[in-house]
Amino acid sequence: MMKELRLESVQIAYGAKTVLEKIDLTVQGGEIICLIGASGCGKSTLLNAVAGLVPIRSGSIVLNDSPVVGPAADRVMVFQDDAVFPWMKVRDNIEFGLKVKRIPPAERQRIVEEKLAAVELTHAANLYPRELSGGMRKRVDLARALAVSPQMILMDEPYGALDAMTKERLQVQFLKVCEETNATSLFVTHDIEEALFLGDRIVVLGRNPGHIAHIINVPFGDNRSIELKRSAEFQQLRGEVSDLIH
Amino acid sequence: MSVTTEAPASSSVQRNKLIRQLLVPVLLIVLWFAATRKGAIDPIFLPSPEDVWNSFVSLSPLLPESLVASVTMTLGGFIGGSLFGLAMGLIMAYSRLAREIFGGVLDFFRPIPIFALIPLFILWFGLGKTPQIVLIVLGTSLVIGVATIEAIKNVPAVYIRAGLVLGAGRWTIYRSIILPAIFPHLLGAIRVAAASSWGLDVAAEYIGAQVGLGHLMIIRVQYLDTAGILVIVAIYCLLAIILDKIVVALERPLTRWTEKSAGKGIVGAITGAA
Repeated sequence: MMKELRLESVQIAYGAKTVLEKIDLTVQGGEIICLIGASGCGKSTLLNAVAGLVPIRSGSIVLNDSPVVGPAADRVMVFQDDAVFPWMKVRDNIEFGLKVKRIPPAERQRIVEEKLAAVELTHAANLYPRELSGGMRKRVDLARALAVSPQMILMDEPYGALDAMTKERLQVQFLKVCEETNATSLFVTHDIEEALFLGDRIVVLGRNPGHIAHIINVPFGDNRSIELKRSAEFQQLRGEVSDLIH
Repeated sequence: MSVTTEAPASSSVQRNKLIRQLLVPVLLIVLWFAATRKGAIDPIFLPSPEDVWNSFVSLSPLLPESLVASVTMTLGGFIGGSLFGLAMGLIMAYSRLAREIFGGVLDFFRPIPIFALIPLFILWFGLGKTPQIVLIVLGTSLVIGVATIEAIKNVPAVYIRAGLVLGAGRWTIYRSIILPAIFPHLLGAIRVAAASSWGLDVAAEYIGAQVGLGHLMIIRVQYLDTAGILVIVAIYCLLAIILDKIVVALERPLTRWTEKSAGKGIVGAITGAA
């Protein structure tokens, strides 16, 4: 079970250019942390470092007492780009990570069915990705990530390219899935509303080089519904966060 | 009912399409008949259709044996060369060691026209089957090998990143992600290799073949039998078309996941226009 992810004075640099410095952050099990900031602040880079896809220059990233070295299925990422394998049917995409983990076929089938149901795609199990809408493909990507029972789900602006309606539906579904599985997530977004709606805390990154500028506790508790976004409290907080970023 | 009103319309569309497709071939055949009437053209340059037919009839006892020889050689060379090229491309992409060792050599040898090597092949391998097979294998494997390396470079990085975060190792990524992802991009190269393997076969049969279509053609050339040459060219043409159709049919199940709109232009497939 996920206990905590601890980042201690993490520094990331490409050559001589420091992208991120002095990143100290602890994510508790079951928390959803949204990373937000102007473009170029290094929020995706930080997520990639947690995924093990980008090396850190100094400091440490520790998940449940073991240091992060390279990518592994305990930290799965859902990407902004379309990362669903187009040559595999929906079902086979979700099964991919389970095959890598050498889970027996019967167990694989059970998990695939469970995750298909979780993202409401049971009817599309045998379709190819090209036959799905962009929003449906995002759901496949999430189901594929959930299938390997990761300690953390890393979301890299997954809904950035979707229309507003689809985005809201997927946000609600994401919250529901996270609650059911008690998932822990780092969620990168540039959308303040999205960060407020999904996050238990919001980490605001500043630029040049990237650093943690603010950490905001989001006071809305669990069981959030889409109506929350229309509330005055939500909109006021949204304004305050917006001022912090700009 | 809409079906009954649409049916005749679509069949007339079909008929118009057929007429347009047959227009140029029929015109060419008519021109051929007209041009070779009454000895207007020396039959050494262009024999009449009747001459070609008669030549076909007189060659036909020799054809089965020649066909078998040339088809087995070409298919063997094409299949062997394609597999060899694919394997080389994958190994070069997979292993930095292989890249460093073979990369420079490959870049050096790639631009050499394969047919220029024929005299060397005869010196090295003598006359007969070995140099012929080597020529076809080498010619097709270069096409496939280069296409494989290029296709691997163009696999979207996000698929590989997705594989990595799901715990896949390099071997799994090559087998389950890179190989299926490059396949549709190899289709063009495989068809080019299939088509050129017939040309390679003709050239190969210059290396001392005792039987085969190319060998038959070489003899026709010595007799200045243009009609006979045309018969063999037509047979090669037919064989190339058949192999192309087979290749496309075999590849279809492997590339079913890609979008295709047959019979439409690249713009028309998007706009929906014909």
